Amino acid sequence: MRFGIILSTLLLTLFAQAAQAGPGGNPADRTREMSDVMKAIASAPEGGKLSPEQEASNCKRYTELDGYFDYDTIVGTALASVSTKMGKPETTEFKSKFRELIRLIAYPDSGSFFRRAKSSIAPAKVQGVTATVIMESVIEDEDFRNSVRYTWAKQGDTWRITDIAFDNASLVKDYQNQFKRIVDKEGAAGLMKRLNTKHAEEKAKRLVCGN
Amino acid sequence: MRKLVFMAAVLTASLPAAGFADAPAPIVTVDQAVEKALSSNGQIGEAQGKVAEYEAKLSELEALYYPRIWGLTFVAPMYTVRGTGLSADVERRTSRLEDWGPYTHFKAQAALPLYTFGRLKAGETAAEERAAVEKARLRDVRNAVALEVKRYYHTRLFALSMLPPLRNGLSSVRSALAQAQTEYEEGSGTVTQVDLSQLEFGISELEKHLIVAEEGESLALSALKHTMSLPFDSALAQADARLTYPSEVTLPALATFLVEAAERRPEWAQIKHGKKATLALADAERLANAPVLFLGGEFQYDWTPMRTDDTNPYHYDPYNGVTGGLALGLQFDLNPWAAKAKTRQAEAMHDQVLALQQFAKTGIPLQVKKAYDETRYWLRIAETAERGSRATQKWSVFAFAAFKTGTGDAKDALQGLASNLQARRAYFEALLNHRLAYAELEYAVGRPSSN
Repeated sequence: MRFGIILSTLLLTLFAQAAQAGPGGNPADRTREMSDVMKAIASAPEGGKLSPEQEASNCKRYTELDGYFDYDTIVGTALASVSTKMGKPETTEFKSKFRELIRLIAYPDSGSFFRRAKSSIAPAKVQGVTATVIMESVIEDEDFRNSVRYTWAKQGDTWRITDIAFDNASLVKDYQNQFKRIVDKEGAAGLMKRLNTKHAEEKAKRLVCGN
Repeated sequence: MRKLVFMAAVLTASLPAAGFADAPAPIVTVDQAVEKALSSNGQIGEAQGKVAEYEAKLSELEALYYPRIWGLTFVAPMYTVRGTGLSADVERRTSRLEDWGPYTHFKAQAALPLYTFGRLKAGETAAEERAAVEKARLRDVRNAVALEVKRYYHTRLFALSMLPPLRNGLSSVRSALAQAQTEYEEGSGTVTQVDLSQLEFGISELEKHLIVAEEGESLALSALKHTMSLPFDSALAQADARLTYPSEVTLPALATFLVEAAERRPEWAQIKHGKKATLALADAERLANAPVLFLGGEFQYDWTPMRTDDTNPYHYDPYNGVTGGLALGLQFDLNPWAAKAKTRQAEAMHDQVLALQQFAKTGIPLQVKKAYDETRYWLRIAETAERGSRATQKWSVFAFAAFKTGTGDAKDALQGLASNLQARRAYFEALLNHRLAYAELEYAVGRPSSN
């Protein structure tokens, strides 16, 4: 599922845990480093499983990737439209499970995509403490082309991703609208129920890393 | 020792040859494919043969300017006859072998046309112009072959372009079906039989389109090879992997193409030479009753020792003698009614050519305009379709994102996928039609290739 893989790549870049600061560098270099980490994530063969060594290596990569994203800003922005309808404990639980869910579904598939794609990264456009970097990816055999814009924010001596846009459509903005629609229709409980169901489904069948 | 050497030779010969890799398939651009076809296509060979045929007919006519010679000679047995036409007793002997001897005869005639009162010249003109018509028709055949090559080349690229999205789509829907079946068996309530059947139908549709694309690709390649006079199982690869948006989209004004068509379309040359050929033919038929002034000569020699030579010049002696001479003559072959009919036939052919000229005066510019308009039209459609394709790609990505995080439905994701496939098809169809329209435009102006 190519679109699933693209989604995975986008999501993982948004919702990883904000762990220790990765190396600083400029946003274009950070984008390059991030894609290199993704390329190193091993994929299970068709119908097969990862070896214990591969699983351990992947978990290390996931932790590394966490350092590239500002989870708090990303999920916080997405929940902004419904924050008044969710209590603090709910919000905290939502953020945590959503991040875990992204790790479960997006991290594993990103390696395969980045290994197959030929990507070019344009120089960063920096404005004060924010920057945007455009990455164009092509997989010729699959007739696939896309343009992804990473929005980076300077935090201390490093840069972290706060949004990703696919063909100029912001993923954070879309999640903002999705969450609002669900909450308006089903309430905050409905949103939590959907998240919990999906989280449990994916946890049952995917690699779960310790951290 | 010899036996060992022999055995070694036999064993070596029976070992498999060194594993040389198969030579890679030759790779051709569309212009290279056209070039190859123009050099070897059978239809062009046939048209070239027609040109040679009419040039040979012209040579046949030109041969009439040169003298013709007829001759006959023989040797026959002759019995003995003694005496002449004035002898009272003529002795005839046949019983003994010595009574028989040779009789030789030789006769030759020659004729050189000196003047045909314009008939030969008119016929020659008709044949020359007719050969020129065939040469112009050869150009038309070359242009038609080039158009055919381009059609097959781009049609195959269309099929190749559709294969990746179809295969990806099929893989996605199969995964979706597998997941849906699991959820259905678990009784989760998220999937019903209707959903499963819809997915199964979707898979069958995609498989059908994939078969069409795969077969179409293979057939187009075989047809391309045929136009290049290559066997259908020979190796050939195209330089382009799929249809792409043209790098150069600015088209010169229509007037430029109309001028080019007026200069290059072979039909104009066919009409020009056709008019001259039919007029000359009508002249030649009109002059069919005219005599031919010729210079003729005849020589005859007869000899046999078995007959008495009659030297009286007033007596005709067919067995011994030499006769001959030169003369100036006129040859007549009068059939005025047949000549009139044939003249009318030639004039009717001339009228047909004039009618074709009239048709071409409006028909060719219309053909150019149609191809020109379609080239621009399909490019605009391709631009729009490309935007649609990007929109459906975004649709699919965000729908899958929502589905994967539980905030969206699988149906939205699958609809996005289906729409993306439709949009990609529309885009590639527009690109194909643009290429075909441009190829028609090149044909309409009498240009075989872009080079």
